[in-house]
Amino acid sequence: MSDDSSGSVDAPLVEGVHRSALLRSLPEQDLTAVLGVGRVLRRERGQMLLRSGGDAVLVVLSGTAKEHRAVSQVEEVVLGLLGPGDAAGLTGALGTPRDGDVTALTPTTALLLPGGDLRSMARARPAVANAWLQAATDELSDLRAQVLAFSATSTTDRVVYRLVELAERFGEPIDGEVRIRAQLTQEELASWARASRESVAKALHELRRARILMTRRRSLTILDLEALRDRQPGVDAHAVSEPQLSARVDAGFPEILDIDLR
Amino acid sequence: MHIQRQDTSTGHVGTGKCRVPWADQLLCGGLHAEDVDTLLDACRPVRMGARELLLRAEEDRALLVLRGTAKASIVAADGDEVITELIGPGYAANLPVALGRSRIGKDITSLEPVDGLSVSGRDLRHLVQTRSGITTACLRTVLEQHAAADAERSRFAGTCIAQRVAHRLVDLATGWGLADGDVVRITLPLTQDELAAWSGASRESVAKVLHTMRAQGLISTGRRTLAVLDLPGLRRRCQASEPIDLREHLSTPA
Repeated sequence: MSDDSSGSVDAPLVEGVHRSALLRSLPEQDLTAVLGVGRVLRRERGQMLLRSGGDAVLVVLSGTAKEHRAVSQVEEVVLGLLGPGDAAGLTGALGTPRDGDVTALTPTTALLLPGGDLRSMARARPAVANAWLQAATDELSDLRAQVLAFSATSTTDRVVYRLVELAERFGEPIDGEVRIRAQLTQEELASWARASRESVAKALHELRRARILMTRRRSLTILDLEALRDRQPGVDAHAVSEPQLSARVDAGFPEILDIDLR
Repeated sequence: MHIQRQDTSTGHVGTGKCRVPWADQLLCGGLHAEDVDTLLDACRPVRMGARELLLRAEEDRALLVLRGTAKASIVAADGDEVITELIGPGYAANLPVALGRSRIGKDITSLEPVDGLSVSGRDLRHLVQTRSGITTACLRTVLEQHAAADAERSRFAGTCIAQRVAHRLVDLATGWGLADGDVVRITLPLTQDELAAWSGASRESVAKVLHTMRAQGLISTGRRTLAVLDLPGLRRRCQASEPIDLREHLSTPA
């Protein structure tokens, strides 16, 4: 694994490998081979990690990134958030052009795997093909659940859906509450939930009044995750959820938060 | 299983593939003869008439569709049906569950008579573990479905009802249409309720959108028939980023 800055693979990166469905179940020999063709990228907030259209796979090892697509000169659609272990480009590496850039939201470290290398390795090493299959199937289940949850819901429902996702994937449980640690602006939350900023503000206002969450400048805390879940769109067709909340807490998240959700 | 096959000992010479007529539909094609045989040995044939339940959401098996069309749907908490996909020949349904990565899938119901192959999750997982040709075939299939779900997320989520219905009509015209000059007749017997359930909209909203589209000469509808008169126009309607004029939707059907 070559590194475009310097130094060896440190602890948070190993942690990211352990969380990756693509990498974590690989036998050591196969893992070494995959890491051998990879390149470690280190990017600051706002810097691009992966451009749309290529055939490389990107595995986030630490930090948080967004997958997004420009819809006009000023507007973008946030397609998804990527935390440690999450991958982008699993389909692109098998020939379907990827739609969407990946940009760091926090200082992010990621592993870039060239599509050609991954393809030849999947042919030569059954364990790699198998791991790729598992990672892609997990993503497929998640995607379908998202499409389902979004296709027939109100903007408020979609905001609630994303807040639950934020809590489950990027939240830190403390004394029955969940503090969300992802540097997401209100515009980004709105775009990710396919809602206007006004709708997001309205939904947050209502949830604050119902004492389900608390917002402060630069922080968002879910006070009652169960009540928030109860407000989710009634459809729950996907399963094999993300690992338990506590398992998703990332040692690599920075202390400085940039949530401005008031 | 007891599906008639041609002699594979001659069938795969020179092509590297089994000559089962529909072998190239199995898991995106590309399976070698031995893998086709092994897969078929694990499958049982399924033959159902129109409007029958082919697979329940909680079943741990995959369904490989060879002929006919089916819908994948769930019943939402409020009792409404939500159709997530239309499934045609070559589609492998319920893969995430059968591969052991999801606990519950969708109900699969035939819209027309359907022929297919059913393989239990246990058998499929065993094949994926032991035969690399089947692993890569499943991988290709899952990635293809993944790409479709990506596209669906990009283009469908958050659009207005008129755009969603336009998308669905374009899907129908390109997947189940019969070209007749510039007119595309849609051959799939889909009810208006089902079109609504597939578009994430109420029947009333869909009726209004269809009314507008008829008035604009984009489509024509009759009893049990649907034809697209202006496919490029319909495609443009999918991309309309401008809000659709509400007055159009508020007009009373003639």
